[in-house]
Amino acid sequence: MNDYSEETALDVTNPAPRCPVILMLDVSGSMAGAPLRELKEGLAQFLRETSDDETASMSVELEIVTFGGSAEIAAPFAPVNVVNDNPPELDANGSTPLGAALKLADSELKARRRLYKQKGISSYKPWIILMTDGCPNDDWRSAAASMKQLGEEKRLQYIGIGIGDEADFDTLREILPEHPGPVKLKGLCFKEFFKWLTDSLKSVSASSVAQQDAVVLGNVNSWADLAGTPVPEGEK
Amino acid sequence: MTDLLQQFINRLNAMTNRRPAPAIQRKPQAAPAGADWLALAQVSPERTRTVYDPAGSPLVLRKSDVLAHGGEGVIYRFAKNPAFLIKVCKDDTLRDPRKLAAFRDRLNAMLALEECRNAPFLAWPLMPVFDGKKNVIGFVMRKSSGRTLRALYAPCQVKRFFPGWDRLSVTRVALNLVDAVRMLARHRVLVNDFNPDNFLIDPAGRVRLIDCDSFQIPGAGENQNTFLTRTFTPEYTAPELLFQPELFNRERTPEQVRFSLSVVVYMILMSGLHPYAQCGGTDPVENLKSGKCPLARRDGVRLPVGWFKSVSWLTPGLKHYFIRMFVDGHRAPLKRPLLGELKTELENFINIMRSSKNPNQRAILPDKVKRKEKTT
Repeated sequence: MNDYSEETALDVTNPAPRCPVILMLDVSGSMAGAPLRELKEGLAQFLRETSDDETASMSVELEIVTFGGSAEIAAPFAPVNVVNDNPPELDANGSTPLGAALKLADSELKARRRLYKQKGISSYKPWIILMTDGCPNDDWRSAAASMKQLGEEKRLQYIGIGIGDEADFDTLREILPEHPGPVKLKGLCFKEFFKWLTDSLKSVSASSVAQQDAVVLGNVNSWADLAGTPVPEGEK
Repeated sequence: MTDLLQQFINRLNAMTNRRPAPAIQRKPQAAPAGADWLALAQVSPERTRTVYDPAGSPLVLRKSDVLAHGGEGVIYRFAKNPAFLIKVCKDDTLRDPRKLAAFRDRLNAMLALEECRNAPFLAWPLMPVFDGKKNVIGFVMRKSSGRTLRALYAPCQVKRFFPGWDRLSVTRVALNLVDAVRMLARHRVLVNDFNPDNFLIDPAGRVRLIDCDSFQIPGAGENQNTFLTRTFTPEYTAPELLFQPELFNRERTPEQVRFSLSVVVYMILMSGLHPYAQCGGTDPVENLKSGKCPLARRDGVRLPVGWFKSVSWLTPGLKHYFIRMFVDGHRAPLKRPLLGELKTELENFINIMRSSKNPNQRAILPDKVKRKEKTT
């Protein structure tokens, strides 16, 4: 793990509201090869482009949680440009402990929001991006409840993306709030997804906190496989 | 058809958490999972289009040339000449005769202002572009580049985007911005929206003003009304407009522009700190509406922790200017000082920074409070 110890503290001389973002990335063994390579390239592009935007880089604070064998904080909360300067190494191996990752993300998010409150820094609603190509092999139900609830209450922008044909959309539907629900990634279009995410975060951070809900997100056609996303049982 | 449209709007609203449109009440139906994504797959479809310059030469604008979407138009890169951009009306503007006529009248008024057309710091319309039937549907403008003003709105940002810059450098930017706004005001053109994304800064400290469509433009003829826009960003807006939104239907006044520009200048000098930011305060708009400015040092309102050092190195003249603007002028627009005074105070501040040997005088984040000078 990289040493971010001096950089994770909040910079109180930055008056911009913060937008906490947690990327929850599946790095289990099944992601080895092309999927992990494309994910890393997409992530590098996201870090570079978001850092280069003077609006988003003031607001976006990023944490990366990986789950492959065990759940780990690959990069703790820090301004996105700090993560870009010292990006985490990602290796694929092991099983898919999504429950442990959800628990970790939930507790990290709560701690960061507490810190914002203590320092009197306003914040946008958090963004959680969950990307997985399989199904969890640990207990995820209790860990998922808190963030799902926040998502249902629209206090969290919760995006779940299934990668490939083996992603378990039924479980993702239980983990995620009903809206917008999970979506399948088109092939290995990680770069297109991360471009969309950069643009979305730019738009959010350019809005005021009070107006963030009026931001209309961009077109998802370049990366979302809507036709390929399995339909829930009741809607077939 | 109406049902489909309503479903689409509601799905989009659900995704962005906006309140759904209040029309068409039917038996509640759960949107199928994935519907939100489907709605987002239909946002802003682009298309290739051809427009014509005044000589009738075709200019092909591809989907990949789209740079940005504005309120009434789409902005394209101009592949043949990267120094220029082309703005073309959106389809809904082209289909609405009233909107289209307003767009054309306003464009004519802007094209008539020669000094603005020639100003290199303005993304001003330079010439109209036409459809195949010789109807005006857009215009060519100068492309502006640089970092948005937000790059100056935190000490860490200044360091990252403008390495080596100090308070003298950012004060020069503020002075350039004041000069630009004053030049426009001489032509009765008022900047309405002081959103920091509308101002670009280059490494030489030059300022570029974009989104000139949001400016208030005088009518081209004696009998033509002023072209108004309602665009604004609340945290930079004069309080009377926030308290009486009906004033947005009238012409903006020079006093309102002076207030907004002074907020921006203060934030440039103070690395993004809003003039009404205060200990325990939260929303900048609510702070602004309250009128309690910590510079006045009354009502128990204090600067946020750590910022007093930065304020202390401003000149007494600048502090006095800001107090007159933000305290005395908060609810009394006529008490707001003139931009000429702001220019003079910024020039004085620059001279003092140039001549001072104390590094804190020029520091973006001074490490000591300036001691009061003894008077005899």
